[in-house]
Amino acid sequence: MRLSVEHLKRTFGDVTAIDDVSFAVDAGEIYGFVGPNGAGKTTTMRILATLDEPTAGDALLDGVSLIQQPERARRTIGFMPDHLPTHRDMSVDDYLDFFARAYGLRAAHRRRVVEHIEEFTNLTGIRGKLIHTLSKGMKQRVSLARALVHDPGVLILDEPAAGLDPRARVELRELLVALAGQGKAILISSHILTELSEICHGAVILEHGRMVGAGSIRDLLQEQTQHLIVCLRALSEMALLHRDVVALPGVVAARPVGEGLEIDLDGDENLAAEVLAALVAAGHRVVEFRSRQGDLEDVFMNVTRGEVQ
Amino acid sequence: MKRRQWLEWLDDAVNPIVVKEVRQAVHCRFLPTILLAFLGFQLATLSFYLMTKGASGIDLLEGASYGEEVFGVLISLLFFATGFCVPISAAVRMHAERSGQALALFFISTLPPRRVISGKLGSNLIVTLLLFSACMPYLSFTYFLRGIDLPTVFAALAVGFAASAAGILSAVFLASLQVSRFLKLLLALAGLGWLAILFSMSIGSAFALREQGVASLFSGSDQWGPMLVGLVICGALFSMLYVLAVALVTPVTANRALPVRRFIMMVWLVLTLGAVADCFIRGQQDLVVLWALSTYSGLAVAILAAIGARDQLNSRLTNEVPRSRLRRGLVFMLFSGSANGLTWAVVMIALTTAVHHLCNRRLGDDFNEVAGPLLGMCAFILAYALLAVLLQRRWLSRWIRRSQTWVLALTLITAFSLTPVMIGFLLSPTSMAGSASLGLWLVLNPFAVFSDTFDEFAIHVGIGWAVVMSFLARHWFMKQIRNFKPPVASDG
Repeated sequence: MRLSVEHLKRTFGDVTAIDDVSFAVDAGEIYGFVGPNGAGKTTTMRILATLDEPTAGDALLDGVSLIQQPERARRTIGFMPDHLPTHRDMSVDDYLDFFARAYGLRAAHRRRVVEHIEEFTNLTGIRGKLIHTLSKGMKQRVSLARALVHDPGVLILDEPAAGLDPRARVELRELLVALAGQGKAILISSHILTELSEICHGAVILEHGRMVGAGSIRDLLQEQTQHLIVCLRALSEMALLHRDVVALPGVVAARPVGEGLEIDLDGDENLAAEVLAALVAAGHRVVEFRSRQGDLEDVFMNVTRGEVQ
Repeated sequence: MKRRQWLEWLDDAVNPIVVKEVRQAVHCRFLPTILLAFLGFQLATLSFYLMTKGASGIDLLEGASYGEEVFGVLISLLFFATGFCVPISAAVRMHAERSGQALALFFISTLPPRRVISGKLGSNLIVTLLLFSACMPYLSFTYFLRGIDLPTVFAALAVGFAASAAGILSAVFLASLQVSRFLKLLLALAGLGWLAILFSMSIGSAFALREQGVASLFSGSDQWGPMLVGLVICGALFSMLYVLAVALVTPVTANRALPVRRFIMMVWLVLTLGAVADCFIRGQQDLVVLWALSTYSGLAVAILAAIGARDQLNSRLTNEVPRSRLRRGLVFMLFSGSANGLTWAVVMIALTTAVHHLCNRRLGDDFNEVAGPLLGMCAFILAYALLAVLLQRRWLSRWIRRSQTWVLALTLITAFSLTPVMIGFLLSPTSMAGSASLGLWLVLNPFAVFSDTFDEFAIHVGIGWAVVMSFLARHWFMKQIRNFKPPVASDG
């Protein structure tokens, strides 16, 4: 299943929430949807979940318009909003059973599906508990389970990792990878870019409602990471080391990271070797010198300006 | 095996909302507490009554009518619980699911809006039935205390059940409205008032039945006609509330107006046929007057509702616009949209006026007596609605949302009705003594058309003003007509 977004635009009165947003996510792919607060991520996701209508543009699921046929599209979309289930006086099992019924799943099949989803999302042990008594992490799981109950081809997850503890995050990542392995197209928004880098095949970056980058992680890195990044640690005084490093030719910038420096070089590994030789010649006792791959965070910092609408 | 399959089929057939709500009701503490308190109170009332009467040495079974008294206490309690508690609980739950962030979950399943509303209604009716069943043994027991017969008990329960159903549906409808917090509060108060009316009507009917017995309903033949008319009107109002509630939970991208207008036109047709038949066969105007009053009032409300709708079709609706010009012209008034809604209301008013005129000619009555003032009132409402549209769209869009243009229209009506009277009072307090002397100071009040002394003048002012406002709003209106066209077909 392929989700393609074409020139999506949404205005609220005089305010343009999103403008000319276009991208595509294929089956089995996980795409990160990133941007500063107020960039238009949730607005886009709500449109894709058929909860809002765009001012212009369209979104297609295997050629079927979400705007023209939202009822049909809902059968193939699983949406996990950024808020947690609030239904009071309902157990996890009843909650999932209700949505399974609402999606038209019948009798024994419905029972099997709910059990399978509970097992998959590790909810079997708490299936009888009331939802409002669960922890945030557990509620997130329930919300994900609900989004999966009708076996959608496309998953739209709005901040699923927000507020989760490290263990729950790792488990969520594993779940998402497993779901992508099942052939689902996944669009996930998150502020934790390092985590997205690990599981995403591609990313869409929004700022001010406009798309400032989209594509596979590799393409984005090639496009947006202009410098070679080197991590340096030496048994020298930091201020002295920093002064000598920035004075070297080819060094664009150097910033302290932990006990060492992170250096942006305007060149390839030959330049890195020359920088290392110069530092050793200057009497610095270098104990670590390695190049670092750029990641989504670097791309994000390069393409956005940190302004909110 | 067959039994199991049948049970599975039944399980699948039950509305998911009913299953959810009943499960929630079972899990929550509120319902069991209410139910236990309810049972306890009934038991205490009955025991207290039996003990005090028994202790006073009165023979409970000989020539007395104590059942009647106990019935009165128990039925009041039951009707209070099912007429207030159940509808309020339904409204609170619906409001919680329709507001803020929870709204998302309301739409993401494939559950159609009509199933959502029927599920809400069904689940709350089950709770009502639960309370009825808890009360039934005690109410039946009153039969043994004399003074009341079982058919009367069941007839009173049927009345209470109908009132509870109406209360629940009204509560669900009001909770489905998405308006500001202040308006929600006003609506909640209005809703409570409506529940109080329903409660007093049901309790009044139950007491009347208790006094006269259910057999009195079947004693004469002249009450069947009004009873049938009453039932038809109640049925139409109930169905109308249902259709409106379904429209309110339908996504805004859809043509929400179509089912509502289709339903109203259908009801209008049935009621018109009934009224016209009554007029031509019996030669009396009672039913025509009732029909005209309800139709004009309903259409005046429709005018106010229409002005809050969209001015521009979304892409989904644009795709539903017919390509043929003729069909486009015909379906224009059945689409969601402010100009579409106003056109529909005006067409319906014109049709109603034409039918009423026909009936008046048949009866030889003066047309201006009933239809004239009602038509004048609708003209006033239209004029105020168009004024509100022009003000909101041109200057006030920053402060007043389009969907709340009706609030602006109501504010204008209030301001234009009261301000001249207040000015008149300030200028000449002595000349404002009686309603007749208010005279022209009331000329901008839509209800001045019902005045005895200057009704004709007020009607003419209303119609004239509506014409002027229509002229001023012509650009806004024509723009919507021009935009009502299907999308341009792409070459690909």
